[in-house]
Amino acid sequence: MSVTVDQIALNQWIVCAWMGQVAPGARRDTVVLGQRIRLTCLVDGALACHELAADGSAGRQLPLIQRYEMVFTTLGAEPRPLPEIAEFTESDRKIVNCGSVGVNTSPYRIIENFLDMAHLCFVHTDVLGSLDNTEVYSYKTEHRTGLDEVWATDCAFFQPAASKAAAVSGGGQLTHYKYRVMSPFSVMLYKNVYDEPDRDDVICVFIQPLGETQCFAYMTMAIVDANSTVGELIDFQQTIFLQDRVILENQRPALLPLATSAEIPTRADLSSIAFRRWLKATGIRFGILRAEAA
Amino acid sequence: MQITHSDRWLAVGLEAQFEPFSSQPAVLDGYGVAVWRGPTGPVQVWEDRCPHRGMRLSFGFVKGDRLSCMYHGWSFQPDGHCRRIPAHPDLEPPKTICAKTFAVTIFRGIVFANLAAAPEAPPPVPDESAWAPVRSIYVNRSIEVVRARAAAGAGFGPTACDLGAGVYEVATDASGRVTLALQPAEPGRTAMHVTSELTGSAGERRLDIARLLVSLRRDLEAH
Repeated sequence: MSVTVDQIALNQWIVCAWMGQVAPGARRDTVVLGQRIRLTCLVDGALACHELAADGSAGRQLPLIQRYEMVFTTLGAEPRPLPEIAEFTESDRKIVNCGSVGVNTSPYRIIENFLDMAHLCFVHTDVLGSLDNTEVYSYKTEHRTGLDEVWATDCAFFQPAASKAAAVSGGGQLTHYKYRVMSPFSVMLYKNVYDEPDRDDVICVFIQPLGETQCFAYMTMAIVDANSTVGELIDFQQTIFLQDRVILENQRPALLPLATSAEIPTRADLSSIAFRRWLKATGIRFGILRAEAA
Repeated sequence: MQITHSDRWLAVGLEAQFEPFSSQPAVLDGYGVAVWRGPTGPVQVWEDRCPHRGMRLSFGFVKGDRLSCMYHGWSFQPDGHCRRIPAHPDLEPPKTICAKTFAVTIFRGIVFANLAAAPEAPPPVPDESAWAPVRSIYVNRSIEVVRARAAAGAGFGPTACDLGAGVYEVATDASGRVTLALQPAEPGRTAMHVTSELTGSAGERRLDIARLLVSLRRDLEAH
């Protein structure tokens, strides 16, 4: 696996571990965008990151940012800034670090699946969707030029058990969502809190692309839920994500096609259409199907 | 992504192996297909990819005579046309939404598909005999290696009759004929699909043939 030369991909902050993953005195060797790296945790808990050469020797030191329960690094000289997610500073929220899951596909397939409401009733049946309520109501998408982010708003979907709290109560609800693509390798959603309709739970996915079709997906959340334990919240999200992985690793091709003729969308796929259009405009080639990128 | 396939018939599997209400994957010369069957109709061989978001249709569910994609529940009728998009229950799906289907024929109890867009190669023509499934067995050897052995009788006898389309009649003795169809799967991997002519002692004979196939595989993989 060689390091990508794609400047768009290189100039991103990329998650390479979750906070607490590397114990004091330990290290973690991993790969970002084809580059082997080593995270070292000193005995006092301070983290350092270096590129690893083919012979295993440590090379250039890489910068690190620790935020949103995640450890980010970058191979680029001018990385796109990390997104601001205000909810992580609200004191009454449970900040939940769900760790990471390996997924053999391109990062964009993971993001599109996260943006997609239409699959909820088929892949997360009787939890995030019901076979009796499969309709995706019309919603809006926009490119927020100031942030250079893609947003989907006014989303609503019927859910039998939208969250851990909702699952305990039962009965189902019309959940209101907002989605936000924060970078080519990160996405998040806002969904209304089960018993506080004016506030939103926040769920983020940060993706570490090892190569074009090998990723770790890290999930971190800021949840308003006084009753569930962090362990229960993690179990709920991991169950959901493992259901998605079956899909993600069986889409063909794994690389994302950007030609509009390659895959046929419908109105429910507006967010995917906006995401692909935005990706195309960035000029990114990493993880994109070659024939279309040419 | 357009892939141009050559106009030839490729063995997919034993017809008896594809049960009603099922969808399963197969690989024909490196190309993934979904093989599925409704409650009554013939075996269907399609590209293993939903035209919507690329999910493999071999993971799909068969309901009535339609195949539904596991990802978003889009359901397709036997001619490939999408008939239902659950995200838009009131929408009549446009005719342009269509899974990619391939021509299929059955010869001596074995399913064959032609991946060409407009097949002209004649499919193998069945005779009057009835054929019973024996078994399918995969060998970690290239199609060329397995074909050479099949053409030399495959251990059933001194010679074999080449019927075309990768099909060999390897035994012609009085107790009934044996048909061996070769399927190029992934590179370096070949499937052998075998049926025997139904005769009086068919059951016992099939067990013997199956044993012979296992030793054939062992021999092929040992060299």
